[in-house]
Amino acid sequence: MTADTFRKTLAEAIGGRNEALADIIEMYMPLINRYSYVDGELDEDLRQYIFLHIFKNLSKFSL
Amino acid sequence: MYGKSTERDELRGKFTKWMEVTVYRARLNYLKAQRRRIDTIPLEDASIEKLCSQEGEEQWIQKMRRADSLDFEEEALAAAFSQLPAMKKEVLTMLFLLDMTPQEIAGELSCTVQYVYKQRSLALKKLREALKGGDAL
Repeated sequence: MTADTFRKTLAEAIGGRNEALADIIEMYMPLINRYSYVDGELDEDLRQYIFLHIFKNLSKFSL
Repeated sequence: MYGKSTERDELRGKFTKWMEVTVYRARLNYLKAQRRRIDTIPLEDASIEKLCSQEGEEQWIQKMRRADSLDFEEEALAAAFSQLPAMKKEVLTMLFLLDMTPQEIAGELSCTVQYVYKQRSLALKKLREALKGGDAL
């Protein structure tokens, strides 16, 4: 994703467009997955919690 | 052209940092909530002997006392931390949980490195005072 596209997608995600949000989440899935492991096992509940935390706080990010 | 590109790459870097902090905090909150849950087992899985034995009960009481004492220390620290001003919390989180350098934090928060050191020093002082029993916050 180019820098221009990234800025546009991020702005749309912050604005609440679901497709843009999905693109951003997909881009950061490796990071989210890395933090979703507990004792060597993927914790699905933790991953869901992380998603919700991101959705809840994304609007606080200032471009 | 180069300037604009650099600026936009900075945005990606800034957002990646924000995501790291956000995801890490979410994980911490989740794990903290998990630890607070009381360990339970289905009643049908507990043996009658264990339920009725005096020894088992005493061991359970001892275990709960140890857990209470540990929880109390953790909760005291968490309570003291939660009372800190937002900027101090932010600085401590980045320093000790995200292992960021004072230089990186200064860049992230758009402040000087000296300010980061000052915030760290004040925050740790307040935490120490709070944990000693005084309500310095």
